[in-house]
Amino acid sequence: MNSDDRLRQAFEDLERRSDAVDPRYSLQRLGGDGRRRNPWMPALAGAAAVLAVIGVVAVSGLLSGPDTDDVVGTTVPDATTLVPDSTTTSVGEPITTTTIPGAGPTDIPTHQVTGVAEDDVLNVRAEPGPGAALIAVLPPDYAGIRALDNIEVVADGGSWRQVELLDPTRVVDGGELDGMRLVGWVNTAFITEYDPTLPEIAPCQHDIGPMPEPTGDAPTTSIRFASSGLEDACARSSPSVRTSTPGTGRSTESPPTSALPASRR
Amino acid sequence: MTIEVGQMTETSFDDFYLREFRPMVALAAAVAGSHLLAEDLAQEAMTRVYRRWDRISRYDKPGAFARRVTINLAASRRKRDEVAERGRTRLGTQHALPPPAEPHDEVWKAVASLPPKQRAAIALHYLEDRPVDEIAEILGCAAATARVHLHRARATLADLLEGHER
Repeated sequence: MNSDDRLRQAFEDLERRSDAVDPRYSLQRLGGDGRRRNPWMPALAGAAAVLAVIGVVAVSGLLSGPDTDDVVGTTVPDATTLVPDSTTTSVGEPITTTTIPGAGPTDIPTHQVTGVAEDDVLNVRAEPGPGAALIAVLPPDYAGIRALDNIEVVADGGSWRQVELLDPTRVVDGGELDGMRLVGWVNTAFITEYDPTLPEIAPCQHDIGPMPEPTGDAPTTSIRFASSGLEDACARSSPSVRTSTPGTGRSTESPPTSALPASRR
Repeated sequence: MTIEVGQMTETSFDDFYLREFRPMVALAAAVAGSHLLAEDLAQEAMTRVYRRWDRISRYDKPGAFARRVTINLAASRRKRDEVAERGRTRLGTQHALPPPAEPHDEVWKAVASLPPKQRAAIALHYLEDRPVDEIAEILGCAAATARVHLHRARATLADLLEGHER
């Protein structure tokens, strides 16, 4: 009997032994087949109920607390770590909600491969930088990329971002795939924000156009006229709040709080 | 078959589980080298699939994905066991109970001596009669690479098994 026959026999025997396994039993252990059998479920339900009660008490305490009109500002995370278009901040409310790109639902892609030739691939590396170990290779039309956070790391002149590959079945070579989660670093020059409506990703060609006129709400650069006294005259004629930052030499002016609509406080 | 919208995912996962669990057990046994562990490994893989079933069910071949998870888990487990075994050997201690004798022991020892990818390729070939393209898809490599894994595995096994007969 040659090796091929012996292998076939051994694998057939293995298959027969596996056929003896009843998947319905293990499916029930997993909680399927319409019968949830998680022994921790009652305890978890109890804990959830307690947390819900605490939440209701906390919210009612907030609502009966100080007048919300007194809340002038809320804490906004460091602007350098946020992408402004995706940041939603409700000012003037006791609760601030901030959506950070890459920190949303874990199964929605945020980016896709761009700028890679049809016969080329995009490397995914273990660390930021072109010299780091290669852990996977993506096809040029791969669209299942989720940025894990919004911090870009500059390494060896390139900008790198940590991503998770949501569709590992389309990864050309995922030798280091650990279980279901494939995480690595890609050069940001070759990824763009995910847009399922775009059949083909063309290079960005924005027509910027003329600069918009600054509005009264936007911070403007203060121009000081040498010994003209105009600035002081303006300041006297329109009462405002002056905020200066020590050490930076910068100062900003804004209308008094009462002049702002309630929603902007 | 009528499926209510709210139960579509769950019913589909149950069908998927009942269809794929046994082949995954066999695959885990071949890659991990232990039938005792195989069921737990397949169950762990299914648990991971279940956690993200909403997304995985939209894949073209969720079964291929589940197999890849099984192979990775089995290979990791085997690696851990080998490290533990080396530690026991260094300390001069043995298992409290020797592993039970398996039929085709010599064949499984030869399969166990293969690298993980070759082991998985040979298991997918003999267990499920999968073509090279599908083996490549499950292993996450190019078809040519899968062909090389398969070729080298068969050559090594032929050398080990037929060499023993001579």
